[in-house]
Amino acid sequence: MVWLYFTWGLFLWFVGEAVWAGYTLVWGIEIPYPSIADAFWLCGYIPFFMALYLYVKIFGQVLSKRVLAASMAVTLGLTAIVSITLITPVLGAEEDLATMMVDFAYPLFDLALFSIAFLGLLIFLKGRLGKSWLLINMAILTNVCADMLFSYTTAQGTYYSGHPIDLLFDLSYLFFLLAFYVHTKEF
Amino acid sequence: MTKEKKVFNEVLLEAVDEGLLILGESGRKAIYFHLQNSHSLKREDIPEKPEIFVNGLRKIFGLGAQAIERSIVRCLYSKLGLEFIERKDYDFLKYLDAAKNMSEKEG
Repeated sequence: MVWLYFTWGLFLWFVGEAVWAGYTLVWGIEIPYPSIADAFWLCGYIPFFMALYLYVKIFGQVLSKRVLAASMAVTLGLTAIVSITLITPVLGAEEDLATMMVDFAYPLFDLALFSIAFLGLLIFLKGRLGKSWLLINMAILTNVCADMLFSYTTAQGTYYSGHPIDLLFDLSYLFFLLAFYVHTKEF
Repeated sequence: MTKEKKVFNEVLLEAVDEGLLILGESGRKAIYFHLQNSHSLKREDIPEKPEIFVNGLRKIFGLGAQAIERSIVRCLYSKLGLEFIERKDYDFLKYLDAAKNMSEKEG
């Protein structure tokens, strides 16, 4: 089930990318925001979250309450940083409600993934699967940065398709690719 | 090998089989494959070399191995009809020794 959810999540992200590429390369029109691509990307977070949750749930019993509390504190701290960074530019941009919600949704959904993935890292750190979980965490944190910058530049009206921050999204996919490769190799 | 030891080893193997199922069928197969390849440990040899088995699990899963160990130990105690009491100072090998001693006494 875990790998089915991972596959499903990555497939939805792939469809999101394909739609985005369609807007840019096939139809050659200005990409609306939010667009259908965003719907696929955002839906992709649900199976991805489920996959991480189900994986970590099997082993979660080994974490002490203190470690769980520390992990939650890290996630809440990052959530506060992201929210504080975005709140002024997004609210100041006078975007419609849907756009504002999507602006916040991406980085916050990333952090929801991080909250689980970080527990996975703590569980497997000393084992061979630790490398894979480190890469998953790096992928998600890269996504947090990319989505935060995307929301910021979108609110400022400075984002364009092919903006240098797109490289961060590519880097994130690369980390995911490596994570799953290492996982397959080690286990 | 005494009859009691043979029976205990068979029950332990069944418990390992069932305990590893928390990883799913393919996960269990992957573990056995990994143990045989990296630690030259066949499934049948686990009761004789439990320390190699545990080290193999810990090398893959790190702290997470404890969850698998606990799952196996619970299965073992249940199969032997023993009451499983969680103890912080016990690891997999200690639980195994305790189960062996208790089942010998009861047998």
